[in-house]
Amino acid sequence: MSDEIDHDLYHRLCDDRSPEAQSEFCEQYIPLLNADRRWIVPGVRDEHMITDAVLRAVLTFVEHPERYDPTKLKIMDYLRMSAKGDLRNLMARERKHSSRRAPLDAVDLQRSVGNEPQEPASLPAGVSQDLLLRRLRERFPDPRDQRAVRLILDGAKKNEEFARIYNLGDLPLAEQRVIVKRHKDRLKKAMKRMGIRFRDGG
Amino acid sequence: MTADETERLMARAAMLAEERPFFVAAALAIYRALRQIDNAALAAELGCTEIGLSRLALCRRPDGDGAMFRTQVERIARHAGCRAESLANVLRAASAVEKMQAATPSALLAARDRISEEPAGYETPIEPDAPAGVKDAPL
Repeated sequence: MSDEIDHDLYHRLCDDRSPEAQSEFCEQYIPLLNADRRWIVPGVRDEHMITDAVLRAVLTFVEHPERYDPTKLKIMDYLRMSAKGDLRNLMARERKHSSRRAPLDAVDLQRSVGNEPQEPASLPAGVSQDLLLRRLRERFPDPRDQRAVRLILDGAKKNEEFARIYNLGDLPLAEQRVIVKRHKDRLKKAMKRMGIRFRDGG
Repeated sequence: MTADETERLMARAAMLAEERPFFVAAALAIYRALRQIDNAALAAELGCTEIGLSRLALCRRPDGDGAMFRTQVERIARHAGCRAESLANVLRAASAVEKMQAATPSALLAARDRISEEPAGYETPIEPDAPAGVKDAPL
């Protein structure tokens, strides 16, 4: 890929009149960066996390192209550096998260029965965390619901965490509690339909 | 890298972009939640393929209104291979929901709860002529 092409697309990213340039850039650079393994922190083998770092780096680049100085670095060099930083942040977040929760221990996953399709036997215990999270994202397209589901899976109990997600901060506490309960009941009901069983019976 | 692999990456990028209001993806997520439809139904409504939907989701969300908005919607629609008119309607609906949420979050939630308490459950699309809703697949 020549620098001429890089710079043409870069200038379109910065141009308010080209809203499709972001998408073009993603389609061009996400596969390139994902295939390039030079930037990956040694010892990291979590492919999901590596791809997440790639995607976050490219999304942030197209959202803030002004942060990149084309006179200093080539775009791919900048993206590698950015992805490496994102990967380190994701690793730090995961470590912090793991230290204050038992991952997915709030739930048991029931194996499907009867004529329902079975997951490949290669998946540990029938269902991987990756698969579970993917299914939950598909089932709950609203990003606020996705964040609330993660909190439920983490065993979070505090009302204010859920209230913040649903932007209920301006309401009286009693009303917040009622609305949060409705949301949690709705999400848990849908999760139970997916085969997720809560150990506390809730 | 295969075309399938690129499509998978684009779909995942589109999913991550839903949390960033900068992208069309954020508006599509709001609209999907409003209509209780999945990506396949949304793609059908916009008249594009699922990869077209990922391309669409990763565009910058047009702002404002009038001629500038129309021009940008047309450019995005051409890029993603979808119907510009349908896209404009989806973007306007998402903006309206955001404005309502900012103004009266409890009223919107109450309306949403009423929908979820319908006898058929909230799995059913709101409008009778909408594409089939998302059914839960067992894990």
